[in-house]
Amino acid sequence: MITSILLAMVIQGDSHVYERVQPQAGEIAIEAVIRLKDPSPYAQAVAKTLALSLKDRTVTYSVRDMRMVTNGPPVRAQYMPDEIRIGVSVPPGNLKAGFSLLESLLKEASLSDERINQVKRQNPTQGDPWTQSLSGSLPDLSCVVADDVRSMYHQLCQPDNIWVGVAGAVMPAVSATEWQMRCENWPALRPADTYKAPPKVSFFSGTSLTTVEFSGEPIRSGDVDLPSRMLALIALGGGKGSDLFQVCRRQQTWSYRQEAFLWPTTLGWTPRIILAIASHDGPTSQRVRSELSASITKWSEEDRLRALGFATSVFRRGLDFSPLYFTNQGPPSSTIEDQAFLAAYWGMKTGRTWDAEQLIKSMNQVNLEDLREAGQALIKPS
Amino acid sequence: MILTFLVGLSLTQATIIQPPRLRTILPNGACIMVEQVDGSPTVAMDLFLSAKRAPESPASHGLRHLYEHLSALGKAGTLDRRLETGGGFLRAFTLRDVTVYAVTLPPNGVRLGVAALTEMTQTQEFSTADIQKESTILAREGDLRSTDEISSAQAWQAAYGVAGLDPFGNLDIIANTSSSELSALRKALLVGDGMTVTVVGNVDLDKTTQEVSAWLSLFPKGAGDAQPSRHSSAPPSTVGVATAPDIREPFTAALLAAGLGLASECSGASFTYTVATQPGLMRISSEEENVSATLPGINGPPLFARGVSLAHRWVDRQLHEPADIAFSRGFLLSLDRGLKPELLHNRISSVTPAMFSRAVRIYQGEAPVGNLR
Repeated sequence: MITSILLAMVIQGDSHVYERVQPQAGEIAIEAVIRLKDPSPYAQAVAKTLALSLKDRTVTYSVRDMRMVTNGPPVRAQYMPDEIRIGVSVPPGNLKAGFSLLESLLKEASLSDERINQVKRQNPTQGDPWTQSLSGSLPDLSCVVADDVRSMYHQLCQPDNIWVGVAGAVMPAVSATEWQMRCENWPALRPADTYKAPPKVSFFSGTSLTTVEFSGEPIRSGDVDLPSRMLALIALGGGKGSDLFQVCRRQQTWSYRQEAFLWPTTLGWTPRIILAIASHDGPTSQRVRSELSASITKWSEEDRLRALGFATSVFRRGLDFSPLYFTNQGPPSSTIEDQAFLAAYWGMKTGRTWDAEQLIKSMNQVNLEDLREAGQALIKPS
Repeated sequence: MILTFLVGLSLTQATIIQPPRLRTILPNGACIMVEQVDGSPTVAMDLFLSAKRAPESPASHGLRHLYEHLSALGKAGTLDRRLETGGGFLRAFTLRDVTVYAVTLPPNGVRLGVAALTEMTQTQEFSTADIQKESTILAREGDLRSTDEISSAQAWQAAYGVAGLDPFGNLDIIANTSSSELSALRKALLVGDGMTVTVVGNVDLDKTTQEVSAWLSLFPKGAGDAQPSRHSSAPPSTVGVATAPDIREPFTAALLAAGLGLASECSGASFTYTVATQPGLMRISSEEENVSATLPGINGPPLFARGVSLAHRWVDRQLHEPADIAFSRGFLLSLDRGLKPELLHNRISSVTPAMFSRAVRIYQGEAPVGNLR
């Protein structure tokens, strides 16, 4: 454990590769993050169809071949509003084979009409009602045109639009070399096919839950007030000592689950505060806002220190309750696949390596007055 | 001369190497397991309260869940704030066979953790108002249950009837629980031989064991022998579901390997199994495809090597971080004081292709013939 932590490092090369070396890990996780640029409803529906279609077969690999490379675990695929994630886990000796599989998934996925239509028919909603409620209204994938999926695949799966994270028992810098070598023979970018007349996307509700939600002003990765806004999110909704838990759950019994987090968008992130309430007799948004606002006004040094304590547990010690909702299951966990993903994702969003200590240091400098101001801004009517 | 002696002494002390973990059974039957993980940035401290002296019936369905919610609040409901300020975090959850309080702590946090566990187990009385308030919150928790969780609860009930009751509980029973019923439950749960504490992190084995035992030895020993609540019943011939024997039985490992192997053939599939020394349930489900249609068509025997490999991986991943180790080892110890994850590896290694194929057929809907052991 100590060795793995002491030797953990993140290396950034020109090829968008980020490594977290953990010599004692039992396997290697390789994660590719493909940036989505178009936030329009149709482009997002196409991206979701693409993410769900491309993990099961390529020109070179059948499902069984893929399982041979990974020694069992399936290929992971995820769609979020700002990225598509493709991940493979391989035994320590299979790094090259893992990269070959990843390369094949990104260059020559079998995006047949049959596979795409199968995904469209399933129109899957993912996760439990809470997870589903975070996605809000879901696009109905039946409108998606298979050619658009293939076109998006070729447009997006280009080396300059892909970030790679590798975690586990790897030799430093080997992954960067592996990836760089594969980037050199990438098929040339085809002319862009834009959706001349994109089909109208209909939406359906993905959840049965009733929620109250507030959204703050969007955050961009370079914003100087990122630390104060993130600390305010934690003070408001991170942990069970937070206002959302203490006010909405303990005092008012409005909800069982309530959270404050950053939700990805193509431009940055949106701070969101959500509580799941009773479908009948639940509180109005105004009532929730008023109670939270009164509570923020009373924030003391004790609240600031609790938020800092929680932030330190999350970012330094890997507690699984981070406010960074970057995966379709919630925040990245402490598994090596999520650590590899976070390294690549942060590189894509900010151009920098993920530096938890720097973030904690910046949060420590946020004073109480700024924290209160940032907290009130999070629940301000838009 | 003196200098030489001191150097010699310090060298002697430096070479004392503690074993990686220490299990202690106290006179009252409580169990403590401390594991040293060098350099770990966290200490995980878990308390397990066995359900074997408080089995649920339709009349008490959900009381353990209610007790878990109320006890986890600590004194005056401020425990979470104090823990989080100190870099800790508390999770509590109720399973069929145990109630778990899992505290994540900073490296020097053993004392903070023991204080938190002490506080949670001290509250003896809960008012009617407390119970009413918590039952409202539990109703909101019920809204969040996934269709998969509900399907799982139904599968358990189909396999084991009343002995397979869903640990979430019945909201009507919960809302009408009296203060005295909760006090009686507390008494049944807080007995030495039903309590297990695990501490995992960069800690000293002896000191930590002493610190925990000073508190844990205060609880009385349970009276009489606790009986298992679940017995083998007619296994369901439902595609994707297998009733599993005791975890110590070799065929359980075959079912584990077969379940994981088959799940790896289905898109978006997940495999669920909560380890038990009583009969339990294993399930394959998927959000992306209908496993009832897919599983019967899968050719099982070629999946043998992959299934066995995935089963070993499944066990290894339960021992990844201090929090995983504390939970896995503590959970097994709360079921049986001699049970270790290493036993699962041994059992998995002994699975034969014939056992695997038989297990595959059970998931594919064929009713098993003969004793599953």
